[in-house]
Amino acid sequence: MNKLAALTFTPEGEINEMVASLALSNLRRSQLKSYLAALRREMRRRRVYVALSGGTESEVGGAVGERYPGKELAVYRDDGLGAGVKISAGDDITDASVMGYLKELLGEISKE
Amino acid sequence: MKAEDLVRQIEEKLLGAEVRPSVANVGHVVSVGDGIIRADGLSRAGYGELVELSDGRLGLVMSLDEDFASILLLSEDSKVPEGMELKTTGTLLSLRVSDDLFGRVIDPFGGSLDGRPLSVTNYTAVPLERIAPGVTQRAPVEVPLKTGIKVVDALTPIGRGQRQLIVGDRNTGKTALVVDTIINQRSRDLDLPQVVCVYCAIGQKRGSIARTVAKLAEERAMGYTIVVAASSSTPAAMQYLAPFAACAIGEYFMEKGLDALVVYDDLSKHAWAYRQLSLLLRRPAGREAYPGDIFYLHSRLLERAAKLSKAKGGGSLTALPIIETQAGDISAYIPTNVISITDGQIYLETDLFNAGQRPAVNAGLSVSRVGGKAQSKSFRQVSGLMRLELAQYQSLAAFSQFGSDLDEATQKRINRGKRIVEILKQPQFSPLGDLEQVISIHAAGSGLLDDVPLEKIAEFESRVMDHLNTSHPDLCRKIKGGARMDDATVNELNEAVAAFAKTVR
Repeated sequence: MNKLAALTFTPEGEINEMVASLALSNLRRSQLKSYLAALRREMRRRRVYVALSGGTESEVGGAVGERYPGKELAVYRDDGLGAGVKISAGDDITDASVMGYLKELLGEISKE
Repeated sequence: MKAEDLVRQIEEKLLGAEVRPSVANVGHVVSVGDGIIRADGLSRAGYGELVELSDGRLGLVMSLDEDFASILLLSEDSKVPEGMELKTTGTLLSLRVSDDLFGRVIDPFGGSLDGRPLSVTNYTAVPLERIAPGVTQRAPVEVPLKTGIKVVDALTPIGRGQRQLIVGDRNTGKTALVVDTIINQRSRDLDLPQVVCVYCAIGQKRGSIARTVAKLAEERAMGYTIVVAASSSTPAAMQYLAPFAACAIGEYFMEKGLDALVVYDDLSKHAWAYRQLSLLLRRPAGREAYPGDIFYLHSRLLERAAKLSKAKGGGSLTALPIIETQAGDISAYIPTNVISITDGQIYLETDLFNAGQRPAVNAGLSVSRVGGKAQSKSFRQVSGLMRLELAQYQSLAAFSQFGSDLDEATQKRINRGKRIVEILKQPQFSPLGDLEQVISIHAAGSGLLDDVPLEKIAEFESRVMDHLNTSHPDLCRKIKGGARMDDATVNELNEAVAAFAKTVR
């Protein structure tokens, strides 16, 4: 299913309509569920989500874009972060926000 | 922790705050059932790694498929919503161990189960799963681990660092035997160092565990004992991890140069718990529905028992696994597996137990492959003779019912055998010291009790030590050291015991 989800996208990140229509017409209901989950994973893998609080979108977006070449960037504001930035690329989350630091601190203290 | 300490700790953290980005590999719960989480993502998770759920609970990665990771939920509360985020921690499951654990009953994660708060200070975090010491790190098993049980110390002696299986049907005295062994470590026979004991209860009823703990406390054995318990009402994951936690505690003391004893009571239930987990993890079922790696599960656990070389501190970890058989079948899957892993077995038989022979050890099917070298010289001297007499008696015992047709020599041998069997009987919770055992076994094995009526053997045994201690203190002192007895000592002992035996006829 992972391979089918990967084939659904063209190298440019567009949807390959032939593959998508074949999948939709041939997959059973239970298989469609797995296909949907695989598509979501693939989208997460291809797209980098950048949440930021402070700084300008173009500034941060440019810096992150250099770090993840060839990936589609989705930059949005999240004031809940306090300050800083949180980047989600596939399964990896890099959290450089004040809220993230405080959460980590709270976790350490509660373990003590 | 005091409020001031907490405030200071936070202040220190904030002052020295260096906001470094945290990097996490995350996944999301796809489905949950029977304590098993299936999660997508977690592309960097490793087998055996701990993962943390967003509410702080922990899970253990048990298998990694192309699309999903199967995770064992390490919590009794199994309410996990679909879509919940979890992240890798980069750490293995570990336990905090220190001397504070003595006298305590804990779960496999180190939580208190005895109703008292537990604070482990100056601890070392030891991983539950570790690779066993290598060949070059080990030394031969040469120091005895005295059980205080005559039949075991004489016929299947156990050495420090050995793995000795205790196998038998239910209600044959398996737990009683290990509890006696733990109690016996209270006395320091032959000037040997103290043994640290870890009793691991797996899949037992809470009442049974409480009874065992109460008995150990009553016999003042909890001072050097730690109990790790995962009762039958705990999730299979806890029962699966319990023996690994007990082993990790034992290893901690072994690496400190001490001698540790770990009792696994019992590995049959451990195998059941692992079978349950494996079936839930959808691993292919093999013989008796156990997974293919059931042998490796027990071999990697028991292989961690070792006697370390002097360069490694000289500590030891002795393992006494227990296996419960069904209808006396020791050729079943799990018993044969564990028999082949261990250095010997003590087989307890229902028929012997019902006939009043307690401990109900079947001398023919019990064996110790390495413990013989660990016996004291005096003990080896007397037990060798007794073993021979017992073997001859067992081969002749079938004819004993036709007593009138037997020649005098055979009749005599059978009579002696009966006295040996009688002397090997021992009540529960009354382990004996080396000296008492040497004298009893010598008396029976060398024929000094041939004229003592069978029903008087117990009386003889209960009184002979007092008699020898008062009338022959020098002789007792000579034997107590454990050195081989010379002819003069043997003659003196024979004369003293024979004279006393006449008084109990």
